[in-house]
Amino acid sequence: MKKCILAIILLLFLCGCQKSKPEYLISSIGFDKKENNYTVLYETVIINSENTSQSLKVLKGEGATINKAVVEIKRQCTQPLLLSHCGVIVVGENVKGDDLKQICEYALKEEITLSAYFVKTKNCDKLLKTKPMSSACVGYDIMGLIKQNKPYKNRFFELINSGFKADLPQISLKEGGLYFESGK
Amino acid sequence: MCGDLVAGQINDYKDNYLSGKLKQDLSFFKELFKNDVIFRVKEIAANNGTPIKCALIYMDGMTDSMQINEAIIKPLVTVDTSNMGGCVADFIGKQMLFARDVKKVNNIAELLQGILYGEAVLLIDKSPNALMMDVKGFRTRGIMEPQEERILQGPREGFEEAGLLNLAMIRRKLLTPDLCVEMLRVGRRTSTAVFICYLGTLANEKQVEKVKSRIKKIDIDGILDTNYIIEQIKDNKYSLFKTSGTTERPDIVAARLLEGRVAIVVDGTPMVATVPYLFCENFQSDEDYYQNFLLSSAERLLRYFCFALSISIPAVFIAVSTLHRQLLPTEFAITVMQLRGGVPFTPLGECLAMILVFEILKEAGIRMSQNLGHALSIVGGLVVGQAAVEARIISSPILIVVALSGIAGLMLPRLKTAVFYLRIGLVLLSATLGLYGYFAGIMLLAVYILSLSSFGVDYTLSLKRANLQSLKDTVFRASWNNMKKRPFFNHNLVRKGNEDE
Repeated sequence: MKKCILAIILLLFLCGCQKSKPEYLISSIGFDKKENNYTVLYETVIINSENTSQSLKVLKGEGATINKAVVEIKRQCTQPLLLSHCGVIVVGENVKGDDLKQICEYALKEEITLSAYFVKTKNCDKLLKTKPMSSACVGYDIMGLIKQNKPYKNRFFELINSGFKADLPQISLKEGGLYFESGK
Repeated sequence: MCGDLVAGQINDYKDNYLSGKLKQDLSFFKELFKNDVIFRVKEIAANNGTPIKCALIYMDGMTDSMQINEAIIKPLVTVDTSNMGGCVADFIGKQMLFARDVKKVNNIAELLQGILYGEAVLLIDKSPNALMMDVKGFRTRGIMEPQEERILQGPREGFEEAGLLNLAMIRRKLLTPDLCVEMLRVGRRTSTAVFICYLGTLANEKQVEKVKSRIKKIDIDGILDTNYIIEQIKDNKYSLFKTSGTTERPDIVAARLLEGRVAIVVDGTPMVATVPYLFCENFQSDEDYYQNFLLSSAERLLRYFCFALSISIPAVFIAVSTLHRQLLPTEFAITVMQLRGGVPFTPLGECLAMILVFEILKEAGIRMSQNLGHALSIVGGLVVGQAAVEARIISSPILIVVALSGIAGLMLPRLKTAVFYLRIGLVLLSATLGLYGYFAGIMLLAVYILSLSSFGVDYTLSLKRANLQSLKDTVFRASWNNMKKRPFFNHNLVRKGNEDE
């Protein structure tokens, strides 16, 4: 009996670290490259618990590597980042081959879901800072766009399976809205 | 007779006998009950022929005074005794008294047992034997519908506190000489009558013997309820699950006896225990057999679902909202995060606190007067629920989850102990190890349930047997047309004859 009580007390101590803090929910991530300098963009849903509303913010970091750019972003954050709900990874036109592999490695390390969609665009910064049309954020608008234009093998796991050689669909801005273009 | 001996227990007098001297025997009983105000002595000197000196002793309030006057005192005073010959006790018992059950007894322990159980004892001068007469007449509560086992269809009568009346109610359902009733006395100081009932041709003899031998081994001061016995005779002493059934309804006891089970009736309580008890009985309702089998089957399935829901939903929610947030749909995750904002406690702390509050409200609701029910709902629903959420002391998802779990648990009154502990245990496992902890807990629970037994019968017997007939009264309730066999633990498996023959 004493052992049981001790076990319960120890279990209670263990769960102290599991407090669910308010977090920045990342809906989409953008990666761009210019002259060996990486730009990483996090589209962040900031949850306001006071009036149960949400607001959007795009966090931007630059660095010689992806990790350095991410560290730059984290310096701007007051809350932990929740990346597990990131549904879209947007890559710039200059991101190719090995860069794509590095992005995938980073996404795996951050435990981003393997069902996230990969898309390419001309200007990541401009795309992610567009005003969302039908969803709470641009990332989920892009997801909706991709789902409307099925079948297209641009999911994270499909990209890994194809050896990072899949043709990614392109999302561009046309008349203030999003536009889906086949990557083939 | 060892007249000076005054001991606390009836068994202490088992080797003592009447002396045959009225004065000495009477003074012994008077000394024994000198501090008992309901002990009565009526000395009678009959002189219609042969003079007879005797004394009637009984407990006031436990005996019927009309019967004492008409069946004992009146004949003693009026009947002519001039042709009396041979044994005085025999003559009085057989030719004079009108009492319904007259026994010749000379053992002090037996006499004490009778007096304390509402019988009257006639001590006769110059006779080594006394006459013990059944004149019981204590007031009882009366037959009422059990509060805790209300049904919409079927018999409404319930047991009451008098053991003999309860036996009569069972007997009225089973008009067969096959019904065996054995009596044991348990409790050093209460000497409570415990009746073992079973159908001789259906019950397994080994089980009956097991029940009797375990009850005989009980050495306790007093037995005031069936649970005193059940806790001491069950297979797994610290089991979370009930391994013996209890009911206040004679129809349920009769149905269980017809399945070859053994019933334990304890004098002084309306709760009757039946053994062996199977896991699937926790999900059966009293009126399952009195309504359409399709409806009963659907309700049983719902109860299994509610059991799973009740023990799992807080644990799964804690695991998913703290350690596996990627499993939540994004919109739901956003909602949960919004609603949790500003709450100072961990989800685990909130959940445990809410479970505690729910149990407090439930317990208060059971114990309090019915008139205060509305006040409790207002305090429980508005103050504890709504105000606590608005004040950001708890988050509304936790409140919804705990309330849902609590309401689902209310569907299973026979599993309330198990549900309470399992709910908390799984929440702790989930909060520390996430869904791995939850599934580990569920596996341990399955192993635990499968390892239980009730009086030598596997607790999950009917689920373990890969036999369609054994499943007909478990998760589903088949039509009476198809339930042709009894459960496996009894002698005679044929429940229903072949109507074609």
